[in-house]
Amino acid sequence: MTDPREIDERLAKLGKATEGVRPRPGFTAKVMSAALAQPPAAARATDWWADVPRVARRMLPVAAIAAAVGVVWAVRATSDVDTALADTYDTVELEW
Amino acid sequence: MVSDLDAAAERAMRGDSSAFEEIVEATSAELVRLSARMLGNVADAEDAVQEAYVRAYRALTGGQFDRRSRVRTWLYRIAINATIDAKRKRKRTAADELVDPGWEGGAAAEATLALREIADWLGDLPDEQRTALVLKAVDGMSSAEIAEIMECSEGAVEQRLVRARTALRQRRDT
Repeated sequence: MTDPREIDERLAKLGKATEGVRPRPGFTAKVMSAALAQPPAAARATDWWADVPRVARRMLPVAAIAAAVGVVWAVRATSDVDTALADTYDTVELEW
Repeated sequence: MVSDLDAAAERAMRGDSSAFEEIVEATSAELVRLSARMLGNVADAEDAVQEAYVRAYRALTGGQFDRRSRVRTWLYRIAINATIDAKRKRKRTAADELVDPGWEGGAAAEATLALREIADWLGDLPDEQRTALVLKAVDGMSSAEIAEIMECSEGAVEQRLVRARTALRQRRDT
């Protein structure tokens, strides 16, 4: 088997050989022109849908329905409790 | 302690584009070098790193940089993701091979060959293993730094390195 140090030594040698690699002149200007060509941040903030991952987009209607069902259930449960409380409001408890 | 880069990022977040230019000036050499080591040539690396900077600028000005990590670490992460995306998309053409690398001196030819050698040698490794190995053995980073960049534990980094070296050894020995 090859010694793992041999692999690291070879990679370190290749790393040394590529130490002088750098972007070509004008790279910063090119980057800045591409970055500034982007639409302003405020405009992008309204385009929130584009930032939602595709999987999440598919799940959004399901989540919305689940949320709606949850709200209906909560309202009904509260209403049942209110009715039960109202029924007991005028009840007189007699102690013998 | 707040570094110059972190301070520049704060200014860039407030819309100061010259601050972002300072960040690009300060980090582009190391990011293009890293990307070139993963892609095998400077032209593709420049495209990938430019895309990374555009993503970073968008995140900074859009208030999406959460300051959980240092700016340099965060930029490395974006650049690595952009490089991996570029590697998946691109198919090297003959024209790319002829692009002038743009740096002076007799080292250029040797560096061009070395970049290609790294990319060819590690090209078949899974992205996470290749990234960890390049950062460790070529860039000389510590496992802690790599873990921060790759958002995983140091143990996970070590595991990726072991797997990468094993794959390379097996390939070489067969």
